[in-house]
Amino acid sequence: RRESEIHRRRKAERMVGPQYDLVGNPLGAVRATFERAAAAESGGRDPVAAFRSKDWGASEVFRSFLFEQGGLDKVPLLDASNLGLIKPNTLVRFRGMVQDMLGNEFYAGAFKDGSTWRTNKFTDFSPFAMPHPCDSHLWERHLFHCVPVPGQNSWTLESSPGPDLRQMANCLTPEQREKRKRDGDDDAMDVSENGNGGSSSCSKKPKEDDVQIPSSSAEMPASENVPQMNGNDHHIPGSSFSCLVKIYDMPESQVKLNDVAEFIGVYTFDPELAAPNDNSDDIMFDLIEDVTAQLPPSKVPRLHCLVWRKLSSVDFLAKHPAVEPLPSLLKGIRQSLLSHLTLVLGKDDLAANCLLLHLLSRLRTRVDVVTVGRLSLNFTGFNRESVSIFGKQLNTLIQGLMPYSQAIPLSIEYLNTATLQPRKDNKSGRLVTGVLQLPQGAHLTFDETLLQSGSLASKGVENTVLLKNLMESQMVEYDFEYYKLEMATDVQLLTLSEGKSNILPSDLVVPFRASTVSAVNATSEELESWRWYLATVRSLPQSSEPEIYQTIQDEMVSAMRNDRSLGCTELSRWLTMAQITASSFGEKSLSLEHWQMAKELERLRKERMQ
Amino acid sequence: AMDVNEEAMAANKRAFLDFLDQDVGKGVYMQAVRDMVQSKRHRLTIGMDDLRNHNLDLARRVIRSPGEFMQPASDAVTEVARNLDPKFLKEGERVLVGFTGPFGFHRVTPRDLMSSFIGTMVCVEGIVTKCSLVRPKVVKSVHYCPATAAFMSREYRDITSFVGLPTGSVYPTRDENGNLLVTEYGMCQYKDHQTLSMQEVPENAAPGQLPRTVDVIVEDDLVDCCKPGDRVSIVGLYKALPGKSKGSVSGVFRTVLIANNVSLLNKEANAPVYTREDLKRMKEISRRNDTFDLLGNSLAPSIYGHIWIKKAVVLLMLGGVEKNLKNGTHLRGDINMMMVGDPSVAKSQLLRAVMNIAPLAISTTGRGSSGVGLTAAVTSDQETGKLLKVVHTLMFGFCTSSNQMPVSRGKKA
Repeated sequence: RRESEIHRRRKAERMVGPQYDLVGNPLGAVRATFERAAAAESGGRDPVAAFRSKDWGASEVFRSFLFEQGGLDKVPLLDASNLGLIKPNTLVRFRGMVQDMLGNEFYAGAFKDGSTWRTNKFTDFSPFAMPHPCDSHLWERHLFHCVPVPGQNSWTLESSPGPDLRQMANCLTPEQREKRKRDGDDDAMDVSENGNGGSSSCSKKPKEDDVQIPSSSAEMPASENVPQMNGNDHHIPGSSFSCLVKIYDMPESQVKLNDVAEFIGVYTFDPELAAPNDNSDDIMFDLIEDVTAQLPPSKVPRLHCLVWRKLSSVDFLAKHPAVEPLPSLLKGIRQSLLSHLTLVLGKDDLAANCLLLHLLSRLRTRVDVVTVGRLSLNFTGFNRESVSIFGKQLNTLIQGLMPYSQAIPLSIEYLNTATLQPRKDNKSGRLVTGVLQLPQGAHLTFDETLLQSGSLASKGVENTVLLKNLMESQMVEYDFEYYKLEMATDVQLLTLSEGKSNILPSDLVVPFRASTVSAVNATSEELESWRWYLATVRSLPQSSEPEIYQTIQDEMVSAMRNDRSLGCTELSRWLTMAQITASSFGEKSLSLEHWQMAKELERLRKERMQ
Repeated sequence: AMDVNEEAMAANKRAFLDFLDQDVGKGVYMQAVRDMVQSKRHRLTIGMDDLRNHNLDLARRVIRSPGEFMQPASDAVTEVARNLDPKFLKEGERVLVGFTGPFGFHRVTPRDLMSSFIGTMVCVEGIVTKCSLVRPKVVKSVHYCPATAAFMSREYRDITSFVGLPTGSVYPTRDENGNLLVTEYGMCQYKDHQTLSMQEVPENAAPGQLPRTVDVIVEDDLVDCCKPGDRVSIVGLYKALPGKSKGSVSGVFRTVLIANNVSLLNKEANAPVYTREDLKRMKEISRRNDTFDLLGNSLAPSIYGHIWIKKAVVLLMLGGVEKNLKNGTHLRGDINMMMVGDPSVAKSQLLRAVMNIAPLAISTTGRGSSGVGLTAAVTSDQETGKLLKVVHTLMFGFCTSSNQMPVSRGKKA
């Protein structure tokens, strides 16, 4: 094995040359591969014409380094706390949600400087002065405005912490390197990339003109070159920062709005770009506003993407155990999770079982307005007191299990004032986000016990309609001023209310009957195994044998005969519950046993409703 | 190199002159130029189909490298217009050219505008989402130097100009000898300028994608031709501007569409344009003896009879003349009309006929109409004491209302 590793390293070195530090000097590798590829292109005075929208080998080098040679862990993770510390033009990683799409940008991809072809790919500003005029090629890149995933829970950051920036002298800005030298071996300096509050900063005490960063409690020194937090951007209230990601060589349709992805590329910050645009000779620039002018490099970092991949819940797990999801293994974890859920829910077995099914649900298919696979849950019988006990425990647990979750206090005031609906601001050309701009797999818990009597203003009414549509068809209407654009979502919705919710028509309504309050503590191993369990089961395929379907169909028909009030919503829910039950045991195919289990759950639930 | 350029321009101009004049013998475009001169417009719209029929190669080149043809085309039409009517154009004025008609692959949405379209002519459809203010842009500035009593002028060109390199926009304040200059604003030439943003129509947006936007520049007679919310089809040149940062090239390019023709795709936008022929015929009709009968009979021809009702409707649509008497009495020129009759005598049908003719017409029933757009008063009927809602006509439009319903007390209109 060692030999193959050495072989691979030598091969990579041959491609780029060992002198190129891919993390500290990625552009060096880009240029080297470009020159090599241009030289290799046989014939013609325009060897680089073929490189339009294609990778000449640069991205391949990085891909191999990151995923085959374990380089991923060496790349720092960009977040609110280390924005100002990372040296420009080094390699970074950013995990976030695509909040806005800013279209295409045309740039001089390749130009001829004398007799050499040079490239501007992966940079904002040409490192070599472009002779004017010169032969050049206009290439395109796509701009995506990304933010940290709303509701991202802190455990997700442990999965891929990135290296300690202290150790990476070549990636620190010159100021930080100086500080490091001065402070010597002071242990108080812990620049952790997790952005957790409580870690202290590089300097021991803040200077007077330091900028207080609202997101973390760490105080960072500010210098003219440090990008300040753009927490004041009214388009993304609540986000501590955002990143302008520029993606190359890819059809734009591969990235969808609200996708969660990891982008790895060149971190750019150019003081030259940061300087305010001089009153240029050409009046044209005063008249046509550029959307990216609102995202100045002094406030919003740019990431020129070399490699990217979509992230799902599985990618946020700390250790990526390449374990087969065998039914025997899953059954055990299921049992332990179920017992824990029962404890959290005051020993209410029925509620715990329903909660498990709910946490395992996801949208399977969508046909017009009919969605299959969702299972929103409404626990009734909660009051302010029980919410403060069980609701709180439940919330803590969900935060520990789901990668992104939010708890929403559904009071009249909230409904009348919250911005749920994302809206396009045509004056600025950007999308103003709303609470309902969520990634696939997000979890929302609504506390409806806060709902007092009162009147709903028109905004409140609009918000309830939005929530109702979200629940019933997993669609959110975005307001584009002259028309509405519907965006599909796939989020899990849990409601805690006193009576059956009027506002949010959940699929499954369960009266909550807690008997005892117990202290609940899960170990981190348990939490990790449950997280893996939930993510894995959700991704299992579901199917069933035709005979089983036939039996189920017959049973449904007789049930309908006995109870005229049954409609396709109930029947669909029964089937969903049965299929999720099967998945929860690790089975890929629905069996009659699982169908019976789901029916039994329904029976107990119906009994309780009476 | 300059000479070659001028030769090419002259050749292109000749090609357009051929097209306008020869015109497959039909003279359609000469007529169009005449109409344009007569209605005092300064833009001629050329159909691509007609151009293709005349010279396929020319049409192709116009779409692929319009920069070489816009100025010659404008020169050609200006020359023709001058020959037709020497007084039509002032010194230095020119006629502009717009294009319409099938563009094939060059008919695109904002999403399709890739770098391969840069420098070509495209027809883009979308929704206007933002309109800037209309600003005057200086085209030529004239300066007077008191010291030497000499005038000098300077021209300014930018990306919207088709000939010459872009100039800066700096005003000269001194001449080459350092003497102070005074700007003669009255002699300067300006051009109206406006920028628009156009977005992809929502029906075309792919799931999970946000509609794309393209910036458009409209000038001269095209300013204020549309407002945010309108669906439009804009024909123009798709050009790239080099980005600038501290005077040097930054490597990033902005793109913009320089419009030469804007058509509104809304249904309401199809206002009729009257040609000289139409006006001539209208005058002929007015000289007849039975004009009034003719008009009455022409209204809602599918309804038989009711000639006096129809004549009354014609008078309603024409309106009267407002009078202000010496004693201060103001007499309105509008007429209101109320048709009463048994059911099924075609009252509503006549109203509908009016709706199809009047440029602005809304129809409403008494019930269910909000106060917006309607002025109404509640009065009591002398005989029965019931309250009735009475509807007045709107300003600049026609309001037809069916089925007056008795209104309860306290109900506001």
